[in-house]
Amino acid sequence: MKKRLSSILIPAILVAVFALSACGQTPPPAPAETAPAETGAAATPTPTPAAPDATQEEVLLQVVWFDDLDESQSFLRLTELYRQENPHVTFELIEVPFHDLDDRLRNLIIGGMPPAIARLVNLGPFQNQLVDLFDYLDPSFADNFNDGLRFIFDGQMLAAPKDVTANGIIYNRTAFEAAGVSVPQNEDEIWTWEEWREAMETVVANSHVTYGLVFDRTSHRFSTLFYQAGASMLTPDLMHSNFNTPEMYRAVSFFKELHDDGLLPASVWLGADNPNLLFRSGQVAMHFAGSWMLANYIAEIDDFEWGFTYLPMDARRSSVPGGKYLAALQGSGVEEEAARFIEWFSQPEINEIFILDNNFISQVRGNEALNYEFGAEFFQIFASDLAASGTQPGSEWGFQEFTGRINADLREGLAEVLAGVLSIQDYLEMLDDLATQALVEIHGQ
Amino acid sequence: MKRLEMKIFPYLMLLPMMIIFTMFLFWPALNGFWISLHNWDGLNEMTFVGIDNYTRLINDRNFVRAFQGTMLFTAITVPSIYVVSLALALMLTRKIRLSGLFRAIFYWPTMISSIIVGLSWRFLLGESFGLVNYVLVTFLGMEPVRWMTNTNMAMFTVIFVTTWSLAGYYMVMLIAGIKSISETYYEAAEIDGASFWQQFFHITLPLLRPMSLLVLVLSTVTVVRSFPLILALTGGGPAGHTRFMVQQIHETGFSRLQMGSASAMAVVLFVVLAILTAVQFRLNRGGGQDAT
Repeated sequence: MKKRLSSILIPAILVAVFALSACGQTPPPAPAETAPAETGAAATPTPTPAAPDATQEEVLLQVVWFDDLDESQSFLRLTELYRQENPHVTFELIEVPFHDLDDRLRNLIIGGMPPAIARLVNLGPFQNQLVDLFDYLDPSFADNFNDGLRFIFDGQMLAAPKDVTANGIIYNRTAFEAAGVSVPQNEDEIWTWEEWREAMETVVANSHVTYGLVFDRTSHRFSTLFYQAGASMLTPDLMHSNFNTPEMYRAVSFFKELHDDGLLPASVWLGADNPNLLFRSGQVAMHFAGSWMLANYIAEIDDFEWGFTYLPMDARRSSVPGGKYLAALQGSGVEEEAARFIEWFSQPEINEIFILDNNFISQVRGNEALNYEFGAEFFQIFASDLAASGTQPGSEWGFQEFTGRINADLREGLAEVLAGVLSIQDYLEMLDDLATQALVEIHGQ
Repeated sequence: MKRLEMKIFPYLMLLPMMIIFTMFLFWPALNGFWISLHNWDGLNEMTFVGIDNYTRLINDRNFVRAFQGTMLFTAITVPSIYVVSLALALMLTRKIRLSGLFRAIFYWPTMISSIIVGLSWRFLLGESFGLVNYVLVTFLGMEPVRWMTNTNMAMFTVIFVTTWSLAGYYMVMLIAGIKSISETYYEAAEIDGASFWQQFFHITLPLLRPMSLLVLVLSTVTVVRSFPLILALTGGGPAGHTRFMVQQIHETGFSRLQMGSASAMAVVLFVVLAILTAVQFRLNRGGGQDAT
């Protein structure tokens, strides 16, 4: 009888132990080789690598990355260049879709397997998990960068700005020419909101396009309008909410009127249509987009001519700076090597290759005016709009602890206003309450 | 010893499943409840706040709207799925030609990823460049329909597409249920001169009760948890009118980084599902059969 019992118990226990051990097993280490670069060579000359040091231990740098288009190819080419100088370092690129970036990175951190480096847009959620680059690099490293994206928080350098983005207007030149409408050619011709709106109406009436404008469904993009109206989310000292103002009211009501009059398709802000695809279809006169969209349109649009022009103005001119960072993660075990790579990647000559490959804007000192192969004049317009923006947009969006809390409500509440289920005044009061509450939580008052 | 062995044996057989359930169901559920008692952003230190996350839900307009929307969506979609799948099952259990082909066609949507279903219907019903509106405007001279940007039409659209995508699955279950009913009932009814509808109401429907209960319970759970299809179809719009509980939980946790609130919502959803299932069991008297 004992034998029968044990003959049942032993296999059952073995199954249980096996199941438990299998679930707790650490996955095998990922392959350590970097995928070789397969696309064409970079347009700019590559720097000569220094002599390799063969005495150092092997290091694997895992990099969590997302692509706007295919920047990973140019990044991988540069890692190959880095490996010529540092053969002991290998790279593994973990590519994730942009909308999954924060979730995947959070899961890696919670799971105790943080990557060495991540390409980030928003540092706020990971502020306590990022390496202070000053721990490994000389403080003068921070001087490599111009003003723009904020990267020093409480005296810690949490990331290196990799490329800067600005908001801008990409227009369907074919449709504008068919309608006999011209866009501003220089800073003296900047259009007002009314002129901008008139242009939309004329192009829709006199060309083949159905809509005057598509506007990315993000708070960041919409904020350009309220900064132009003279509004802001916070007071200049970033201590109090500033949502409930006549200027903010004007910006929201202008945006709503554009929708109500059918100049903007409701399907972007009230549905799930992709503005990028709508513009590429040739049915829209303008796309209010981020500068990184240029690279996409250079690659994707063949059916019509397009161009880039100045943002409109209301009370003032304004764009909103944004961009991407390279940050090192705590707990990867290779923090110093990660910091060294970020330092290397931020050298002007290396940064130049990456920026030109992908038609980005650089924040690295010395790379202010690069020789772009396509649309150099577009980048001058971006720079002009950014220069006219003042410091408030950059300060507010650099206050990521705050914007992270308000972002979703700002966007979704605006959609409710557009749908007519929330009044503009109620929307502003709601944002005012949320902002005040967020500031109290942040400042602990 | 034999009695002891007989007592232990069933539990030993259950042990592997219990281990799996514990690791992947019970433990995460308990952990979720624990998180719901804290403020947590998913990365940094948790702060114990007791039942604050639950009391805040009452005043959270996003949660209240998502909850009401989910209830409305479920209240219309579940009966729709049941009626459509039962109609299809009745049709395909009658002696009609090509019934096998039709069964495959009706079942086909359930084999497609719900993301693909959502994207396909978004392409068809797109307001600006959708195929359906193109036909309505170009060939029928009608105004384009705001399938996904009008609040009422968007609700109709998600109900329609969800029903379309799920009915085939439950149709197969109901066909199995109908086929298990003995033919002798119908033969006797026909001899007595009963019409189709009399046979349906007095034989088919009562004898389908266990299967109907199963279909209602499973479809309720599935519909309440709808997420990928609706995300791909409307993104929760317009203005959150088709943002239901699961999407709200996901956004609260992973977009607003309020894991505690998101977990509290998940606990509420669990309780609601448990109540709905219990009510359905009671109404159907546990699925017992009673032909009248």
